[in-house]
Amino acid sequence: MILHPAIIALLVSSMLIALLVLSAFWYGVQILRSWDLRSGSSLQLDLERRTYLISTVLAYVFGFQLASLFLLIYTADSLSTLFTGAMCAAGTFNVNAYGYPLLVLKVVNFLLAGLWLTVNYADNRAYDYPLIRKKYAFLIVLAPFIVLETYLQTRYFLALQPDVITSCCGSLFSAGSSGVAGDLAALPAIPLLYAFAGIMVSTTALGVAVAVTGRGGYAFSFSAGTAFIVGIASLISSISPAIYELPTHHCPFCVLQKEYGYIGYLFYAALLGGAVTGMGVGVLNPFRSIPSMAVIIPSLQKRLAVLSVLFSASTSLLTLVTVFGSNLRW
Amino acid sequence: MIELRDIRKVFNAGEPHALTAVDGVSLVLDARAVTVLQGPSGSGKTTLLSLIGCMARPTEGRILLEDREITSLPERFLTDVRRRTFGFIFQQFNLVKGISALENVMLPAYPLGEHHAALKERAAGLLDLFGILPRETSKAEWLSGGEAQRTAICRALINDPQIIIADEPTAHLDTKLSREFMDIVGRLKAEQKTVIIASHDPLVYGSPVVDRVIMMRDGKIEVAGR
Repeated sequence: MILHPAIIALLVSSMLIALLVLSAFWYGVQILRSWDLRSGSSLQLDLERRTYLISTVLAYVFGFQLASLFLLIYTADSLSTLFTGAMCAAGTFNVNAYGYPLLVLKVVNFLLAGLWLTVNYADNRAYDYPLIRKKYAFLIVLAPFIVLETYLQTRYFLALQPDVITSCCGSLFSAGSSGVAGDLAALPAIPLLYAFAGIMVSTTALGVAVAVTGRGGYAFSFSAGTAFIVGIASLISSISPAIYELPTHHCPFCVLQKEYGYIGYLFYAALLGGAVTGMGVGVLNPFRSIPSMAVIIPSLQKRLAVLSVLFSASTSLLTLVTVFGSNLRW
Repeated sequence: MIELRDIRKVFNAGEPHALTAVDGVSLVLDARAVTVLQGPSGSGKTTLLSLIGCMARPTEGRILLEDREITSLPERFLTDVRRRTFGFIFQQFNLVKGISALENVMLPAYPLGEHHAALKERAAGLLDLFGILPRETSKAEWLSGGEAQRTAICRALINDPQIIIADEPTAHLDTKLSREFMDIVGRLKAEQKTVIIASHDPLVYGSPVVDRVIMMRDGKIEVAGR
């Protein structure tokens, strides 16, 4: 293990997050088994009192969970100088077998935690806990992912050895290499850019429709989720080479470095933000018919749609600036 | 109408020094009536008042306010119910020292965001109604017992609450001021307010304005009155 302040911070925080989520998990099981708003039993009143505290704690915990994705990527990038062969975070994650599974899980947990926060926010707006069972059922599903992330992160950092020779991003994300990274790099750049433009236009149009009419939540949500996947694929296949002005360089991590103005952080924040807020609209859609949510959810969906459209617009603007401002000609 | 269903309040529940302050109380309190909770010290009157007034939550049981269940409400909703539905008059009056009588009356209305000039006018109107407008600029610590009591009543009425809750309001008043207080309660009743008082003062529970006297002992209802 390398004793680096960020590594220690990530390890300690992820263990704290796992601990708090596990305690909330146990509370969630009690909610699913015993919650009955019609009852005036001491157990029910105790659950009502504690849910306020638990949901507040979880809101902060998941807030940090979202931020920790960026801290992990930043840490991996800053550690790259310690490993022979590594040029950026791509090499650092490749140092051992836990790196990339950890990164993927971290992204999945970012999306899930963001959606849980959305459901929690909606539930806390109503007076009669209309989503309480759903949000704790969601938490019970989410908790194993959080624990697995802590496990993978701990194993990853404990297994980090500075004398390991790793691969650089050029070989990992090259069209000729095998694996998912190679496959993404090999995707046709121009058609993928058109697909990305198409999905961004459809997401924006559907988002505007949700914001104006309150209808089309599922379609918008699906489009926002798809935009995230297509966006990541486009970043690797088309946008990164445009930024580097090098058609063979597809690394999605070098864009996080100072040489490129840290533009990658903006891309990822906009893509992830757009995905969470957009998919949040769909997650809330089935609960519009609950009487106490009848006003709260449509209003929240509209605000989420506006946010998602703003994120999509930011991603599109960044793409336009980098692609059309690039000297690279395909 | 306020309905209490099997209300129980235990302090330090589960610990060796647990104390059951209210034990299985079920009651229906009529609206637009004056109800007195009577009983010795430690009988659970004040605790029951604080539960009815949403200042504390029961350990068990439910409270319904006009058919709306309020004990399960999350804190932000409970705050709103407390602010708009109840006016509180405390035993020690609890006026804030260092600020004027008028400012004390205006305090509970500040979170509602009403225009300051309109609020000030309304507070002055209340002080005038209770005959203490000339003392509006006097600081709370300069007010006599009777003036402090009437200022506290004005403060309880500033948000035009439907229910007034008073905890031992005459405990620090002489006979004349206690009778004056009950006259004011009669005026509030005439204005269709619901008044709930905890008191063991005969001047209070023996007053003709009182519609119902509920006797409590050891956290339980001994006599539920009419």
